Amino acid sequence: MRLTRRQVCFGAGGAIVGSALPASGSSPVVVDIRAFAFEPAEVTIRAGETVRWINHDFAPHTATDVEVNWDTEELEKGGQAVIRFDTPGTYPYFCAYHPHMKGVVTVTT
Amino acid sequence: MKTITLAATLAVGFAAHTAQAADKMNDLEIAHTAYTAGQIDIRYAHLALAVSDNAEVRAFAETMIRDHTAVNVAAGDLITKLKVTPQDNDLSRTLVKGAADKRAELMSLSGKAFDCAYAQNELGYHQVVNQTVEGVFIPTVTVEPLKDLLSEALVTFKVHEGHAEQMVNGLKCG
Ligand SMILES: [Cu+2]
Repeated sequence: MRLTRRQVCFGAGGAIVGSALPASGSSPVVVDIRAFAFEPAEVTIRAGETVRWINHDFAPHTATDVEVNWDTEELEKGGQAVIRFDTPGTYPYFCAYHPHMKGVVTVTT
Repeated sequence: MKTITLAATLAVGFAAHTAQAADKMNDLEIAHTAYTAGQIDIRYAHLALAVSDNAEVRAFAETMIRDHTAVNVAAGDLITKLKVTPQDNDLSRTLVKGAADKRAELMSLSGKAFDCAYAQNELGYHQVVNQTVEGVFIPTVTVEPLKDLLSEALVTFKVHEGHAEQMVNGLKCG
């Protein structure tokens, strides 16, 4: 099992900055990817908070912004990625490999 | 229509054979056939990537390679852990022979004819494999970790079946 740990900051300008995930910090909202679905499919966080995606399927998946401003990249089974959202808004996303898999991250002020 | 007929013939032949051989298959034979079924689909996908220019078909083929590889890596890990050797068997040989014939047929095609034949074969192939995995392999297999692996693999294969159906409809093969 390979753990993919990644933090991507999604800033106001849509810039994507990747860096190692710090060991500390508040526990992020978790979205489990299981049986080709995001669970829960809709999550709400506050600006500056993070979402962690964890893939439990054999099949690799991604969580990819529909406008492709952010992306977890490929998550193998057991793989996870954390993305921080700094800008309030509604962010629909899908799996780039299985486009019927859809979810939404809502970021409030 | 030719492709549908061939796929149906393969499906019927395979299903009949499966029903006949089902209660005789042991865990090691089932493991072999399940693994072989994945490898066959990976090979179809490589052929599609070599021939097709259709973006949707290519994306589907890439997903087949990615997903079936992941399932078969997990199967390989389990086989190593259980210290067993999968056994070749009549059903595996039937699948391999049918796939070789189908590849020969696909290789004679190009353009939309290829895309449609590939898509229809993917739909038919996943339907047959899924019926067998769900109706025969999972109920028959006795080793619990193998049953779990087949059950999880079936989730993946069913998604592929649905995806293949969308691809067939999207291509408007008529
Ligand atoms: Cu996916």
